[in-house]
Amino acid sequence: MIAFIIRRLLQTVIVLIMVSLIVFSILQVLPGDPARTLLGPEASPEQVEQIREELGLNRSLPVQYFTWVGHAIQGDLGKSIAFREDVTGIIGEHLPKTIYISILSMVLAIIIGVPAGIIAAIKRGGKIDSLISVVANFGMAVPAFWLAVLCIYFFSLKLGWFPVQGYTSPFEDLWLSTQQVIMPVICLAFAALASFARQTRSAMLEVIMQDFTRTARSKGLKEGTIIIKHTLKNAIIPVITLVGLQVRNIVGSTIFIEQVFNIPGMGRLVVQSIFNQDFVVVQGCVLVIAIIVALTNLLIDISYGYADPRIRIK
Amino acid sequence: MTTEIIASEKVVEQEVENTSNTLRFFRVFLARKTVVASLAIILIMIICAIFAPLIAPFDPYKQDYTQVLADPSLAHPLGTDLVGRDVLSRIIYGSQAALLVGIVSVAIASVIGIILGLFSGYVGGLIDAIIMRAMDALMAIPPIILAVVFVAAFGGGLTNVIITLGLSLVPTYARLMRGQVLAIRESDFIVAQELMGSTNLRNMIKHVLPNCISPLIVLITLNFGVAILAEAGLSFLGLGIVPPKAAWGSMINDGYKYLLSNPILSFAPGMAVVLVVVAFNIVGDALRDALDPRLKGTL
Repeated sequence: MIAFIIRRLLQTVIVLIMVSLIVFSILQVLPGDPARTLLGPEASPEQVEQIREELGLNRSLPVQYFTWVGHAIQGDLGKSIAFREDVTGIIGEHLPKTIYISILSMVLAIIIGVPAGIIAAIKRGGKIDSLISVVANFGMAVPAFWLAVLCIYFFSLKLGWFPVQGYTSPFEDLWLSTQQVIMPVICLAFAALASFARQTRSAMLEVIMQDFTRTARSKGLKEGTIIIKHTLKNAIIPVITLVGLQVRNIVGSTIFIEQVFNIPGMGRLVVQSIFNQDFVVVQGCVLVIAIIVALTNLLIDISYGYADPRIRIK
Repeated sequence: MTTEIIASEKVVEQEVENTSNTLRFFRVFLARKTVVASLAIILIMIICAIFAPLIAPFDPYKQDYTQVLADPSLAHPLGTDLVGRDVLSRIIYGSQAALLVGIVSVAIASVIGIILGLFSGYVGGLIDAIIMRAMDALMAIPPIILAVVFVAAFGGGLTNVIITLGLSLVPTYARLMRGQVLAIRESDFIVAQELMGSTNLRNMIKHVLPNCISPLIVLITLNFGVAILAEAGLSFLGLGIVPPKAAWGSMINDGYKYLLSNPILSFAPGMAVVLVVVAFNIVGDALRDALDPRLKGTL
């Protein structure tokens, strides 16, 4: 087990090094000279040159890369050009909001999606099964931002149940915060929920068809015991794998949801910084998001390496 | 839905045990009405994209200031937008962008991914490790964020959106192909071929590729939907296809400003996205069930 954890940890470190290389090289081609953006159009060439010197922009690319990584490891992601602040500080302000709505969405997707998949598998072929399949099919095809637009129209503008947009910290005003967060969380969770329902259903069906389920049934065990003790335990592993993939998708979708609902999180920060040509912030955001996704995947891998000894050997 | 498939498969198996595989494929594939309906939606979309100038009732770019934000009527079944352009015509023209992005980006992704995966699985060792970790790294960044950053770096517009989405879809294909290569390498018939003196490279291309066709077809079909969704997302954020060119995503965003008075402006293009993506997903699922029942749940 320890060897497995160390191996996965090393893999994650390599992946993160690759991520940093990708992020660094993509942003080398971003339009606009950061020094020019910082100083404005009236600055003289000498001033621009001086700032380039200060920012280290006239050094060779490998030097720039290692300086950037070196600083990043110490928690320094550079200075934002548009906000004139430390990127680490800006991210620290935006990140908790994204994490908060992402975790809520993930929990919602799992506690509804997995039971829905189980019910569909048990009642396969029935009306409930086809209903769940139809909802899941649409869930995977509906763009999160369009769902958000629909929700705002029906639940905010027409029914007036929820505020149209905005974000309040749950520590400040829990009631208002919950009201504001309900629609974004549902929109974020919907596609993931559909995937969980589908994956759980097919994993359950696969296990139900196996010999040991038949044995359990012929022993005279109750159907409920079979489902919970035998089928679910085996079917849950592919579902856990899906959590890793969905972390990625949910975090990715925050880019739309935060835009539509005006939530000052990471997704909105990325889009805003792209329009501001604030490449240092974009770089930092993508790196932080990738680290979070990679670490969650590491945790998930370790936890199911723990649950299923077969995985450790691979 | 799967049960219906299982049930229909049983019937088919009993009936046509002696007939060809092709027949079995079509009978299983077309067994459900939803699949036929989905194929019809895809066909309509393709026809709309190709014959847009003939089908669309109006010029999608012609602004008519006497008809600004008009409600749906006989002349304009889905109303008109802020500058009096016919929404239905713009949706019909929008299918061109969606279809083009779907086809070309998936083609780019699958070709690069297949080559990388074959090569990686075949060569093994350090090169394999480097390629696969690079794929892991690409997968650690959510695809839509990767696409947004790519587009920011290289600029928006149709061509860049296509290249960007193509590249962000590569890892799935590379992983699939590599997995298949590794699995097939161990199988008896490849070992037998090697014993008979067939070279490795020839083996790979001749035997591995045909064996991967089924999962590839399924993945490609499902990825059409993914690409169309992503394109809509990029255009919605204003980072994709540049106005005034008609794209469903940017139409949703434009209409969003008039949500209270003219909700149909955002509803209609979104509906187009949903219908097309659902259709591709259903066809992908049906293909998987029909091509190879063993693949169920693996993709």
